[in-house]
Amino acid sequence: MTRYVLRRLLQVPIGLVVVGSLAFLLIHLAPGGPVTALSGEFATAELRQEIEARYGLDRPLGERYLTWLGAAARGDLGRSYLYKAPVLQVIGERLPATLSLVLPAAALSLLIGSAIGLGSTSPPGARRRLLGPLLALVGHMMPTFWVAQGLVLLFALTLGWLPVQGLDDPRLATPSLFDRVRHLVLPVAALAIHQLAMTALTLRAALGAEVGRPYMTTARAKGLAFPRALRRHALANAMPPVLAVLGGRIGAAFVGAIAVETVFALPGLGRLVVSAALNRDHPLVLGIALCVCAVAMLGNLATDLVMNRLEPRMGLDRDEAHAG
Amino acid sequence: MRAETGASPRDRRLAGWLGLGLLLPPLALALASLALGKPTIGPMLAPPSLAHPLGTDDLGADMLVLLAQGAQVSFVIGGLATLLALALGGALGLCAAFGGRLADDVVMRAAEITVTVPPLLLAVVLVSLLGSGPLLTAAALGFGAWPTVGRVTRAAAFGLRGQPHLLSARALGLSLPRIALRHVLPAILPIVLSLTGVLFSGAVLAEATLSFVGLTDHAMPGWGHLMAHAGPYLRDAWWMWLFPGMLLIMATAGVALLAETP
Repeated sequence: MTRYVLRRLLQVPIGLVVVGSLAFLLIHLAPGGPVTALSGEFATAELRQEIEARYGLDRPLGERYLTWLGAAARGDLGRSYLYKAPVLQVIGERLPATLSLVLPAAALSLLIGSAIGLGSTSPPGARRRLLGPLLALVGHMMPTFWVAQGLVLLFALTLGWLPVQGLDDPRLATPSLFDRVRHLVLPVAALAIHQLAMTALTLRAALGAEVGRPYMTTARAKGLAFPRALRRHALANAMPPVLAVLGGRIGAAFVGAIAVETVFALPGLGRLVVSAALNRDHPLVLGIALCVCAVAMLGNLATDLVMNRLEPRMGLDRDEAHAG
Repeated sequence: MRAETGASPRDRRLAGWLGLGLLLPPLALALASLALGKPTIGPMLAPPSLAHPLGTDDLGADMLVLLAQGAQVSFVIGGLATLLALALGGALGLCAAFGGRLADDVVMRAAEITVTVPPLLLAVVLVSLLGSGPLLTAAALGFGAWPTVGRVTRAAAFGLRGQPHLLSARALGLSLPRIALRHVLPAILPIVLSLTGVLFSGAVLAEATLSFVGLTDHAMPGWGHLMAHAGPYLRDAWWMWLFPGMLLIMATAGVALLAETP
């Protein structure tokens, strides 16, 4: 077990080096590099040279790559062209807003999605409940930003219950927690609606495979009502696929916040990566990509460990099991 | 993700008809945009009327024509991305299944690494590097989705291992690539093609997101671009917000339901 975790943890830096190297090569081989972005299209040759020298862009590619790799290994991802600050510092400043969006949305979607999944599972032989899954399918297809705009239209503009955008009320002298929560209700809801649909559909499919099992017959024969038997016995067995889907989407959840952060003008990672991409701030784009990948890899590892707890039969070395 | 809207043939047929009904309007719009040409100009922010069935935007452009252009962008980019993911994932999945241990390891590790980069992030990175052309957007979205297809193809091909007809093909002296293409591919094609719905809706949603935050070609405004444009006018022009989203849901849900049917 310890060996397995260590081996998997070791794979994270290796994966990051591969992703980072590929991205580095792409960035530096792409036409119209950062110099044009910084100096404008009509800059003089001297200005271009000065900028190249300042950011070390006049060195040979191999040397730049090794320099970047060495610095990255020491936790230095370079400086952002746009914000004129270390990349990790810029990311650190934007991370809290994204986390306060993504984490509550994940928790809510797991809770509500599970409830819908449980509620829409019917006993074997009974009529199938199709309304729940159909609504969930539509919920999953709705773009988060469209939902977000709809929520703004209803709850902020028409009813006036909640603020339209931002993270704090600028009129307040000191930011209050209550005010912060009020600002986060709509963006969190928009993100959660998208994810809970996925949770509900996956759980319902997994539960559908469990309801016909002998242990469910036994549970009902000894007098448990169907919903109770579902919660007490089938739920734990049906959870691994749900967790696998959630765990596999941790990285995507961070990126999925892009559009919601745009609608609500929140100072998060998603808007940061978009502005960095639009301004060709390559160190920042690369830094954010590496951070999201690291989070995604650690999330996958955590999911595998939790799933192993729930379902020890699966075995940790699944690769070796079906490689032969 | 399979929607599991029903297991009985009747439910499946129902889902298929529903899917077709949902898909037809956006598809018809996409085709109609070839004939509609440039948007006609009317009064600014006019609500839906006979002259402008879906209203006009803040510049007075007819929403119906704008939405038809958006439909074309969505279907072309979504379709291209889906085709690329199917082709790339299918080819690599077959390589993994029939290319020996080393090829299997290489393809599976590559899939693992690709999966850690969310497709949307990959598209953002590529767009920031190479520019925002529609072909590039489609390529980035398709490339991000290949591991799903690759894994399914590989698993399905592994399932056929040791089948008598494959063993006799081998005994007859057929080469592995020929067996993979002529005898395995047709057998697993239905399983692989059942991913079409997920791939297409994923690509269309991702394209809309990119176009919403302004990372696609402004000369070809997609539905996402129209929704972003609706933001400042939410209170005054609900039609600018409502219709792009409705069409997008109809297109993605329609394809997803149709893909469940066979």
